[in-house]
Amino acid sequence: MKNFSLCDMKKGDMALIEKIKTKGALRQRLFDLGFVEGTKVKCVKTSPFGDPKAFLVRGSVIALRNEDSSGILGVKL
Amino acid sequence: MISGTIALAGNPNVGKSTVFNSLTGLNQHTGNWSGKTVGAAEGILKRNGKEIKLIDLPGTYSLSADSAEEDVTRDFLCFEKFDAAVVVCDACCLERNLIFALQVAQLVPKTLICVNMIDDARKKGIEIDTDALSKETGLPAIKISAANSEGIEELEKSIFELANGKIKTDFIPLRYPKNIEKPLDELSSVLKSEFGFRGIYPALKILENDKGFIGEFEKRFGKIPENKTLHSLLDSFEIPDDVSEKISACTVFRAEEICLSAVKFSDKNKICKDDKIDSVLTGKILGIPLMLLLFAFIFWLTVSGANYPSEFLSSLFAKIGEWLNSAFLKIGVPHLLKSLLLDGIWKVLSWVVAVMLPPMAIFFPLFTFLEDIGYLPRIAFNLDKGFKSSGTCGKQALTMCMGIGCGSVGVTGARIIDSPRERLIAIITNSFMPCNGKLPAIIALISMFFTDSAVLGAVILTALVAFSVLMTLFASKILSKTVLKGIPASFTLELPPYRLPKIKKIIIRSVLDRTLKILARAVIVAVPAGIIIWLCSNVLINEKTMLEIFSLFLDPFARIFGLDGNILSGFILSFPANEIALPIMAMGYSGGELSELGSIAETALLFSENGFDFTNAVCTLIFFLFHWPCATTLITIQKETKNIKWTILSAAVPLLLGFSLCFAINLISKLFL
Repeated sequence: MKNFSLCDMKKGDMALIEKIKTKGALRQRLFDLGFVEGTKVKCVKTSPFGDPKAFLVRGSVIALRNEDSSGILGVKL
Repeated sequence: MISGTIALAGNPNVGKSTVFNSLTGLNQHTGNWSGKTVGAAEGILKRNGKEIKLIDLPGTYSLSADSAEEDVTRDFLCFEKFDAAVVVCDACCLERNLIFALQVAQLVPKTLICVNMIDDARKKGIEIDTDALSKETGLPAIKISAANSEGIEELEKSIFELANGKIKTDFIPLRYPKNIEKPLDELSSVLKSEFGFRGIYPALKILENDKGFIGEFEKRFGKIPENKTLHSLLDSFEIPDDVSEKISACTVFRAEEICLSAVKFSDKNKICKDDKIDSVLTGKILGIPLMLLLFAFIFWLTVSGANYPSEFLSSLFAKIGEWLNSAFLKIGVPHLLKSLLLDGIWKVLSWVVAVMLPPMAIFFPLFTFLEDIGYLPRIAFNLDKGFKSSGTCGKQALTMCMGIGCGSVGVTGARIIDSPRERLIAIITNSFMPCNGKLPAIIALISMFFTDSAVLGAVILTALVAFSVLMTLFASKILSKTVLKGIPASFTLELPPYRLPKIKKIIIRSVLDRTLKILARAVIVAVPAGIIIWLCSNVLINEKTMLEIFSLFLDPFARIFGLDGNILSGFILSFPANEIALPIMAMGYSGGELSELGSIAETALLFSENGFDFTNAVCTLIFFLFHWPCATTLITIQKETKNIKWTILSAAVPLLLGFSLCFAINLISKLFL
């Protein structure tokens, strides 16, 4: 799948991160939270309004807004 | 004598403050989002006659700081003098926590890894092998459960041995790609010899061109380009573009590798239990209604539970007052002094205690319970979209929750918001939430003029708070479009696992840390306030009391807004603390006598006799929600923002809103009712 990003994930989906295009301060923050290339993530919750979504990454659950997670590209598993 | 200094660091929500409290016995509050770890708390650890200073740093996800709280941690770990570090990790997500632990160890090789909350982990089928963890990292590792005081003794012993060198650390360095490793070694050895750094972390940050770190470094040691050695060294390197990504990836994968041998999962399904709870609590259909219901339920318990103890306390205080009165008469205390002591200080004091203590003693444990099980971040998660459309972020919901506790706590708590612009908005609008100084007064007004029923009272209160939330969103949006222009910054929020509440801890914490502390503050304010109020209502100028003169002066103005002179003077005189607003109003109506002041019904009668009608009641309620923050909060705002402009705005914005709403309500009621 081309151009698949974390914001496209639905609750229960799994994905493997391939590229992080996010720029600025958020980029480093994502790295520190464990979002790096080659990481498996699972979308575990969506907020009542559909945004933000929460991802299980390296044992912890992190909520990201769709516009922020759209910079994290990957393949659906 | 203090024989060493140890820094306590860790990710947010790992129970670090609980560890700190168990070690030092200093009473301090846990968790990171409520401004409890403000700045860096210090405590003394005693053992066998020796003492060690323990510094509790704010919880952070990394050392590449980008929020006010993280700055404190980064600057301390990078530039202050201390002997060793203890990194507290959450056993339930050790892998993520190790990323930070590895960063700290690269800065301070003398680091101890303390794996906390192993009881929670065990329940989820996660077992931590500290020997393997220690072997893989080369650092001492201990597992504890601070909430159950398990392993604290061993941790204490290890901290002393770490400080006096009995425990040796032999940190196994991380491996980096060749094109990074070589410049890293060269730069690091210069930084170590010339600037006294202990680990390679500063070199990593300079190679990454981390603006925050370099800024702090240059503040202390001068510009890097002006330092010949550093400058020529950096010039000789060929640093790849994706260096920071490579470095991060190395750290993250090293953490993963360590966990492969140090963490054993016996049952992966147990971890998913949270998701099931959350699919209801943050669900599309039920998420928001359940949240409102939950708050309505808490308010109902508070309103209905507070009535009887309040009545009991006020009659008890009245009896003691009578007894004091006759005792004073017997020993012949002069009338004026007796009046000052009893009608001034004692009356205000008993009002504040009787009206405030019961709702606080009920509300705080319930609220601490929500905090303890981990529900509050879910509120931020549920509401983020609304805040985003107002130009801010869901974390503002957390500072607003803190604001229900105390305005100044909410203001300091706003440090958790990364973007300075969004943080200012959260600070300016924080007083929209009814703090516990206002809450009991609002509850009293509701039961005086709106309903006797606790259920209906709770519904009205929930509606009022929901209205405050809407107004916060509205004001945030206006601020975002005007003085604090900007687009919402990025937003990351951890949703920690639900934890079983520790009831005993909740009660101790909410009663000691919150209820008594805030009550003490109210009592301290009530005494001088009692004196001033008494003077205002007893010193006569041209046969009128000062309070009367002041009220009469304000009256025409106040009436435009559906208030009256007496009510507005009550608000103005309660500037030191909102708790004393209602007693002042009652004192004003009773002409300084205040003898009727007792039960809710009697106070309601007193108000009505003075022409206080339904419109007045609605406007007073609204004005309670929206006027200036109390003096303490304003001082905190000035401290936090360091700019008088924001402090003034923090008072002006709610005041303007309060006046506009009251004006509109008054107008509508005069025209149509």
